[in-house]
Amino acid sequence: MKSSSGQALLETVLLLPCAMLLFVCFLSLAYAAFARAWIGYQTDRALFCLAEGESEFQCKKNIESSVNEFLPFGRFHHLQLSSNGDQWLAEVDWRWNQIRLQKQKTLKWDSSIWR
Amino acid sequence: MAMIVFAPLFLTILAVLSIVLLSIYQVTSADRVCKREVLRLQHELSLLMKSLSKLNHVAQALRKKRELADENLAAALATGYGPAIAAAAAAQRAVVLEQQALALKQHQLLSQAGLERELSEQRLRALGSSVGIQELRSTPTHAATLAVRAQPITSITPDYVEAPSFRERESQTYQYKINLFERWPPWLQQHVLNPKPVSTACSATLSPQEENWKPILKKASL
Repeated sequence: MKSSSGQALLETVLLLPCAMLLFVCFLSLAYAAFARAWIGYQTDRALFCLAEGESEFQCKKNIESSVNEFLPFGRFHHLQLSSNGDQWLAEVDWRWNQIRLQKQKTLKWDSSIWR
Repeated sequence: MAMIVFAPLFLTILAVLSIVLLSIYQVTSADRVCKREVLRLQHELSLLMKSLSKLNHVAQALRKKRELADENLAAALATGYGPAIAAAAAAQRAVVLEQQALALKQHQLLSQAGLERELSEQRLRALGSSVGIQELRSTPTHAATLAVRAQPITSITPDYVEAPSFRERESQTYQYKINLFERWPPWLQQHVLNPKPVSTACSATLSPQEENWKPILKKASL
């Protein structure tokens, strides 16, 4: 009985850090996946905002507040929105620890340029 | 084996994350397809608008020519001199024919604009079905062709200028619904309390800039 409980304790001591590590890795990956989708979505929204004639400052403020609201960890290292005639551009560089998300999107009527 | 204890937690997180990501993806795709199409339409309309506007100079010149031809004919009729009347009438007829040819070009451009609007709706209907766009409809507030008015209205070849409230009347708005639960497995759909599709819209118009018209997106009201 004594040896059996000792073995269980040993198992727990060994497995708990592994389980915790796995859990943290899993959560980090889930967070990164959500961040990727959310930043992509918000970048699109920022481009739409520019295309609606809003100022670059206002659209930048919108994307920053939406991203910071749902992604408490990580921040923008570079965020640039610009209008160039009838096309609108967004450059985003968001970082969280070792994870780096870079996006460059252009909005134009021509579908081949919209990436 | 002890890891199995965490399996339900992992699976739950994974399921929730998948649902959120799928929803974001669906909304973004539909929004993008709609906005791209409506911008493409306005780009086509801006080219037609530019072509129509370029014809205004020719229309003005022809109206002046017509005025002169009408005056000449009236003067010739007043003299009662047959050959002069015939010459003036022929000259006037030539101007009228020129005007009719130009009017045909103007109407052709306007008809093409109407056709572009119809084609755009059909294109969006075809593209939209792949991204879950349902019940697509175009709001009837916009002009049928281009938001222009003829000036002077009585002329065969009027100038076509921007109509009042140009941006509003030129705009094209599409309203549609997206069913966020459509791609869920049927057994999971049963657990959704309110599986109604989400209503959304996209809109674009032209912004006048000197001799050009720039397509811009517009906030669409549902």
